Amino acid sequence: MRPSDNIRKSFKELHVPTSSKLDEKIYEEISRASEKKRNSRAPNPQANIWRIIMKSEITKLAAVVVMIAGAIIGLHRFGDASPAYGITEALELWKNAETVHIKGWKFLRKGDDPQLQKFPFEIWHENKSGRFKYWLPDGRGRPPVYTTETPRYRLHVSDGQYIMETGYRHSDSNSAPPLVMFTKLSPFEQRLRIRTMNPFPPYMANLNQVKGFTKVGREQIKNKTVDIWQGVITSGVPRFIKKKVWLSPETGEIVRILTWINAEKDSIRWVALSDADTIEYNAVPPASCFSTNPPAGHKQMNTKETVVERELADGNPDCKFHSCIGFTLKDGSVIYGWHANNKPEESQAHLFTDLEPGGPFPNLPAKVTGLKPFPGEEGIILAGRHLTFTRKKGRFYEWGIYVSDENTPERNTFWTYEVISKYNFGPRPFFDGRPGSLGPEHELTIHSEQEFDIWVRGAMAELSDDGKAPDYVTYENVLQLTEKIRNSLQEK
Amino acid sequence: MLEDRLLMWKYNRGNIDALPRIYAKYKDDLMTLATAFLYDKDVAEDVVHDVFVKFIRSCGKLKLTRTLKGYLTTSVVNNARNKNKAGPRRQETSLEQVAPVVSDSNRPDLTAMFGEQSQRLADALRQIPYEQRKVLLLRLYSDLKFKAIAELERQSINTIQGQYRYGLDKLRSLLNSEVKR
Repeated sequence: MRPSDNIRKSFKELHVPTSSKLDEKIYEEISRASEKKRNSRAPNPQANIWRIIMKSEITKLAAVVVMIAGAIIGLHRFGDASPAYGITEALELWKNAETVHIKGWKFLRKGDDPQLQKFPFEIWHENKSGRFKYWLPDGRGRPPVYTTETPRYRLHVSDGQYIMETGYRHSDSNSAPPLVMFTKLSPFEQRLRIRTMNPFPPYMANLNQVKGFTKVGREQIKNKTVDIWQGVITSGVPRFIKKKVWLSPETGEIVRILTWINAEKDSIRWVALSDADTIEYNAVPPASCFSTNPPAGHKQMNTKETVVERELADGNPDCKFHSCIGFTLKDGSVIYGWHANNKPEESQAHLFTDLEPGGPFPNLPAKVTGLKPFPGEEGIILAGRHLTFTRKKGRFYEWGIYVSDENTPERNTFWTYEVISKYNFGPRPFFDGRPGSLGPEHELTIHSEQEFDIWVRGAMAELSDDGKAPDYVTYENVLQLTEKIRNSLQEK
Repeated sequence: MLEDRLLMWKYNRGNIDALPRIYAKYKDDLMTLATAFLYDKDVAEDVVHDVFVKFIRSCGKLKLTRTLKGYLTTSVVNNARNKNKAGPRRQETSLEQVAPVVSDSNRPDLTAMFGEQSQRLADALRQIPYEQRKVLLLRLYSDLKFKAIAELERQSINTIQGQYRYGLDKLRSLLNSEVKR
């Protein structure tokens, strides 16, 4: 089909020029690159000195003496070779703590008032039980703004089995009654939460985000010597975030985090967001810290007795197209369970026949065709194929296997997977949402066959009427299948 | 084309002098393309910025093998795709509640973006599904071949041609109905 000349011409007439601001930025970047290149060409003076030293026996001997003296002084000064933890290790080490307690201040603005005011917040995490508590002032936007007389507080607390959330309906009045709602977790979801919970913001969990952080100083906090690390998180966030992190080089414990956000897009002004000025590991939580008894004066939307156990889902399990859970395997491929039925009253049994592991997906009204590490390198997409399916309470769950023929980045270097989905059957069917991403709360990295049985087969059993995972899905079978798919992708 | 080959040759050898010319030559085309994908000039500018910064920093490390225009167009499309539907959208409970980049802009001011002359086309394009719009733009604006678009989108050439056909049909009917009104 050939377009008319008019249409072709109209396309050619489209023209949106770049702004002078962008041009300026790019030319600056080019100058920087040029400067960097010039500097990298400069001769290495140290190499020359070394050459001079090595020319004479006397200077050689003197150099050896100096090196030995340096080593002795170094050992005396720093003691034995104890590790000095940096920011990347610190963001892993908190997992060894039994509890993490964070408290400090959040900065909010009232209405149009540009002045920031600070309000307290507190977070508790108990890693071994999955219990947590968030008590935070609420505001809209970044930096957050409140429009009530005083900021409202949000409580989000879990005793491991139940999650209790408090909140408000939309209203700008302080007199509007606060609401309270419960969610009940299945035993599988409880175990999952213990494995995936993170007291620090999720974007800090991937190491690429903090790799540009540098040590900018050292100071004493509560009789501890701590290093100060600073950096800007630029990818995957709507506006840049600057952080200053105080951590102990001896234990790797983070003791304070100060956070700013870019005042506006492209602005060079930073606005304070929060100051977590007290961070403690292994502190003992107060007795009623994780209590899920509804606070007085709150209207109950449901009760612990009436709430139904939540189905395994990443987000709302009642959405007609939703994510359940995903698993990254050691070869970088991903098993991902999802559900898509825009007409829940109709059975999809006829669509789940004659399916082969590694073959095409069933012909559902929507499909997750690929996954993309985010933020990540351009071009790496894990292409999806059918692995298996399960059925529970009349709902069918598709379990896809997603493989790339390129080397996928290490899982701890990116934040989440972007979900690439496609609607079938011509005009877009009506869904009440679609999965946008996978992880990190409902996505795990699987390191062994044992973990595979616990988590992958466990999740499939969780979403099956008979409580069993399909026999075919074993660690070995799946890895063989991913190898086969990868080879077939490379042949194309 | 000859100029592009020379620029690529220089770029592959880490010659920074090639960069200002490459930027000047392709910046507006890429900006137009990103704006037509995203209907948000600010986000489009972010896309072009990110693509060029990465491109500049890779000078001498990255070896361009196909065409300069193809490489830059592909980078813009991939980056725009990320901005268009990236990241989790759920309400998160965390200290900062910082959600990843999502482009949920309001109805855009097309005249401000494309100028009055192209507003009709831009308005019609906006009503075409994203995938079809993308193929139309890559084919008719960026002059990419179907084969190149298929490779870029990791789809079969038939799928791409189908999307192009449907998109063009829809575009024609939208433009014609506009004329009749």
